[in-house]
Amino acid sequence: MSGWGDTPPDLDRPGFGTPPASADAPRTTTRISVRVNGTQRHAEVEPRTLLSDFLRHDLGLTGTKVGCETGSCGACTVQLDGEPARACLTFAIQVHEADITTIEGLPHGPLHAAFHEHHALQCGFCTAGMLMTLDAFLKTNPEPTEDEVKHALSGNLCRCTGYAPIVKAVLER
Amino acid sequence: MKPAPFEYVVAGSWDEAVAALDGDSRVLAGGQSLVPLMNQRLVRPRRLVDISGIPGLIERRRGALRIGATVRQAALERSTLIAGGWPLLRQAVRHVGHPATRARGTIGGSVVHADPRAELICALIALDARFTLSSGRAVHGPLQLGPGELLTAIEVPRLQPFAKSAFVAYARTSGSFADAAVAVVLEPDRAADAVLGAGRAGEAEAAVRAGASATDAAALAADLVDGDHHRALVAELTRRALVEAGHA
Amino acid sequence: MTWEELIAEPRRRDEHGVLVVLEEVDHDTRTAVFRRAGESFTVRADKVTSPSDFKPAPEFALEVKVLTGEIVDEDAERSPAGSGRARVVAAGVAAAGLALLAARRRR
Repeated sequence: MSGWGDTPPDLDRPGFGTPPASADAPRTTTRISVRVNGTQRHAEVEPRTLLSDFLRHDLGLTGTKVGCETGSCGACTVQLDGEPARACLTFAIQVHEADITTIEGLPHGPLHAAFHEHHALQCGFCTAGMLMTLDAFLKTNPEPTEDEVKHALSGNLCRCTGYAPIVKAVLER
Repeated sequence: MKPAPFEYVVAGSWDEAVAALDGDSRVLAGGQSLVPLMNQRLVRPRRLVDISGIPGLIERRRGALRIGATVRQAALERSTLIAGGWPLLRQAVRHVGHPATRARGTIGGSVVHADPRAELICALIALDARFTLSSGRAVHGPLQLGPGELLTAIEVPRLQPFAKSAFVAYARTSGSFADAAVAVVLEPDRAADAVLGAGRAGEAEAAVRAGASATDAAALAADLVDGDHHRALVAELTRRALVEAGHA
Repeated sequence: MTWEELIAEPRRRDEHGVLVVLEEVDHDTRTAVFRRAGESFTVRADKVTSPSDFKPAPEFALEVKVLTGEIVDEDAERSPAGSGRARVVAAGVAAAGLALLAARRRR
């Protein structure tokens, strides 16, 4: 025990260092059961645990990236009951009994190949979110125009590619 | 970032939700505005009452539209019923956030969160929407919730035959809140012109009914806002919206 | 299954644990839109225009085309949004309930 308090078990956990909650705040956990990529998983979660943290810390599914945690960047996009959703704006406790697909559960397909082919990623941090968003979009819109692709990706930021290769990959997959 | 601890309560009905609310609670609907605030610890509720499981439907009955408060924004966006009968709502909702946030965000949440730049409210006001509350009260016009009151549904009257509408917004990037937006509904004997954050432009509406040009009516709408830039934006957007809705 | 029964259960999970949400109900045309696994399905009641056309017999209710719930591509004229993507399930009504959606993903 140092003057800094116990070493947190997860130093990369966002929020470390923010003021402690008041002592009387409720700190209960709840058992949830959720199907992730086809496998039923059970876990104890605090109500405040974000789905993004739950996937990465509790289930070890680190393919889902955490960027802004305010819903702006789209890096944490997963599919929740088939719909794209920001894992950082959903609490794990809310997905009890739900069906979640993360990038680990997305079957390799022509979209992956097109991303590879067109250099639609550089550092790769945004790619999981891009693919999860696009998979949901292309399911109902398999022949999109360029404008539709740009609109669909408006909530996913990429700081490497300038987007052009990504849009091209979608159109020429 | 991670929210401060809170107690989580699921409400299965509006009655349960109202009963679970106390002074230090917040209602969680889609969470697309609330959770970012909680993640930054700008909001630290002691209890969250999750109403997202309360069913919400888009319904048409005898021509009138009823939207449950928990209807997801994406459901409104893809609804063929909305596209056919109230295309203004579809146009407006496409400006709210991004596809993935619309998949979670609710209509009621957007209305009640009441950001002055919320596009949906602007469109609903132009459509003369009526807000139904858990207390049984119905509100026409600006929505003010009393303590323990929840928005349960939004009712939108049928548009007259040959009604035309337009929603025009200016935002710096797609998905950001708009700097300015205008919703216009023109019916044979009614004109509605709502300015984002400022409500209905009554003088502009009267001018349109009296046959004034789009440019002249737009200048009246711009009087609702302050600042040269904002006024110029509102004037131009109103003019474009009026022209798009068929008014020369 | 009657129209009322069809729209009575707005949220449920089917036998595969997949969420089926009733999103839209047009009482005027007796059309309901369900959402399942990221796709929309439109279910139309048969061409019954007024409640007096309804008979108490259970078979009145829905246009039964395919009992296994095969998905039929919707023709464009029913889709004012111009989206050919919403599709009609010519809903078969199994005794157990909605034989909605042996959903085939398009790709």
